[in-house]
Formats: sequence, structure tokens, C-alpha cells
Amino acid sequence: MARLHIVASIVATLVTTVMGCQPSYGGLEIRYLNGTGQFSDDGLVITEGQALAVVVTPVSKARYEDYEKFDLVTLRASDPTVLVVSPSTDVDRFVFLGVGVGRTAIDVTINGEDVDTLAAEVRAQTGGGE
Amino acid sequence: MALLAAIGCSSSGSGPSAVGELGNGTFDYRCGSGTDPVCAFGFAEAFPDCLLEGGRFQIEYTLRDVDVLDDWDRDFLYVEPASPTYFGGLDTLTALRTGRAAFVAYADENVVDILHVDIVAHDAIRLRDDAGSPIGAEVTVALGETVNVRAYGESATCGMPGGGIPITSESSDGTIAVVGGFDSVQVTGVSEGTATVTVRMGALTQPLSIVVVPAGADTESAGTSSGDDPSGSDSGSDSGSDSGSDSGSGDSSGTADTSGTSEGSTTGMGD
Repeated sequence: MARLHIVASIVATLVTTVMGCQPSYGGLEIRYLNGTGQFSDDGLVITEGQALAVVVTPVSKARYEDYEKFDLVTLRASDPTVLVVSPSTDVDRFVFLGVGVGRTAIDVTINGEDVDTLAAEVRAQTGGGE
Repeated sequence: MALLAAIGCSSSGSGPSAVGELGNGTFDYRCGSGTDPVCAFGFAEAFPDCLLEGGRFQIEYTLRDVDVLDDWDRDFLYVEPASPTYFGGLDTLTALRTGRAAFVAYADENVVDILHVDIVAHDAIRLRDDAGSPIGAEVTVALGETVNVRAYGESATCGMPGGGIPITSESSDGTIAVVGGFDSVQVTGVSEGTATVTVRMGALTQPLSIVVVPAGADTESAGTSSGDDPSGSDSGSDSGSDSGSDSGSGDSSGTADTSGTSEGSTTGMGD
């Protein structure tokens, strides 16, 4: 009986350890490649008619457990008449296109799992250009 | 979806091309019509500094390095505007409004490159002869002969604009001079005298005095003169005697009629 208890404890410890290896989504790190746009805690703001290319890296809340290159991030705008998010030349690169003025949301998935929803706004251009 | 682009074309990096903002290739400019100011000699001399509102043009894309496409379909490369608010049309695009807008080069569904351009309104009409020389306020035409006048949009805010804006033209007196042509103004002397041809491009008009002289008379000296000043375009409507059916409804007859009115190419949304 004591031996069975020891085995059960080892298994439980292993399970806990394995679960702890999984990154815990804590947000996205976004680096601009070109264009004008603005990410903040309130979400993305981009200008109608313009494009913003970014590199997106998921950030883990779990200490010492970061996302890897093979962790696949996908971004999809809820309303493509306002904003389109297109994949680019690498799996971590995306281009935001300000299609029309309005507000929408960007659904974030990692490895097929929904992890976040970001607010997004496409604003009209002011004056004769920006 | 705009033009399919040929991968590996030799024109990359020279002529009417602009390097994309992601650095994967070049956006290549193609003339939209005979009124395109960057295409005065029938081909694009350079990538324009801006595009004229209402102007027509074509954009292609050439990859600098096909390896950037990885495993995607390399035969399916195309350019689209980021927003249909700013550009309309399919193969031939039309700049619909002023501002700053992006073209996007795709391979399949993946963005390969981006290019932002400014779109400005034209504030003048420049008239030139077939040799590219500016035309002054008056042109002399021999009886029975036809001269060709080219019209290009200009903007004080843009050094070298691109985009061919459709034009219309009309003669104040079809018994003296008649006009025709599609994307240029062909003026034919019908009888001796003086008439005014009004060239309309968008909201602007440019008057041109036509003097019809007897056949065989010297027309060289008065044909072109001091045309450096591109101003003189009138905003608003002119009061020519002809009806001037340039409502922008999109017909494209392009032929002169006896009343001396010529309807140019289509306006507005493009193809």
C-alpha cells in the first residue's frame, strides 16, 4: 500500500511538472516593420487606406516557459470591411490593412486555441494625406 | 485584384519602379492613358511622386528574390489596394480620393510587400504638343489640317504626378474648328477664323484659342509659345456655346461631332 502511494505521488508530481511547462498566454509583443499605426492597451488604431506590417510574438506569463517559434499565432479581424489582417512572408509576420472606417475586434489564437481578443479601430484620414 | 506580375522580370529596380516597404521587390508603374503626365512619351519615365485624384494607371509587382515566397504559389502574384475607398478598378486602377493609401502585393493570401503613395488633386492643366513642348494660349491650324494637343494634370504639391485623368473638349464654334480624340484633343480647321477650344479635366477647364489660317500658310510660328506657365485652368464651368455633355456618366464615344464637342474617356470608378 505504501508503495502504491509513492507511485501515485510520483505520477502526480510528473503531471504537475508537465502542466507547468506550458506557456501561459500573457499578451502579444508587437514590433513595427513599416507604416503608421498604434498599439496600446486599448487595442490597435490604424488609418483607413493604409497598411501596417508587424512582427508578432506571444508572451508567456509562466516564468521560464516561453513560446517557441513553432507555436503558431493566427490573427483574424471580425469585420473585414473595416480591417483585414493578412499573413506575410513569415509565420510571425502580419499586415494590418485599414479597409474602412469603423471598429472591430481581432481574434488571437495560438496553436488553434482562442487566447485573446483585441479591439481595433480604423480611423479616417485627416486633411489631404498623412 | 490587379495585374499579375511576372516573377523574375528584368525591369526590377530601374525605370518606373519603387522598392516596396518590406524590401522584397518593386512596384512597377504602367501608364493608364494618354493624359498621364508621367507618361508623356507613351511610357512611364519614372515612378510618380504622387497620384492624381481621378487618374488612371496600372501597378505591377516584381519580386527581387523568389526565395521569399518559400513554398507558396509563385505563379500567383498580384497587387491590390489596401482599401477600395482610395482605389477602384481591376487591371486599370483609378485613384478615387485624396490622401495617402497603400498598395499591397500578394502571393496567394500572403502579403509580400507594401507601398504607400500620396493622392493629390490636380490644380492645373498643362497642354503640350506631340513633341512634348508646352503650348501657349493660342494654336494656329491650317484649313483642313488637324493638330494634336495633349493635356496633363498638374499639382503644385507634387513634382511628378501620375495618373491619366479623362478629358473632354469642346469648340466654341464648330464651323471654324472641330475637336475630336480620345485621350488627346485633335483640333481640325474647318474654316478661317478664330474659335476657342475648351479642354475639361475633372473640375478644371483650360481654354485654348484656335486660329484657322488658309491651307499652306505658315503655322509653325504661332503653334507653340511661352508655355511654361501651367496656370490658367479655370475651376467651375465655362460658358461655351456647345452643350458640353461631360457629365462623367462614363460613355466613351471619343469622336467629334458636328457641334464641335468631343467626349473623352470614362470618368469615375474605372473598370
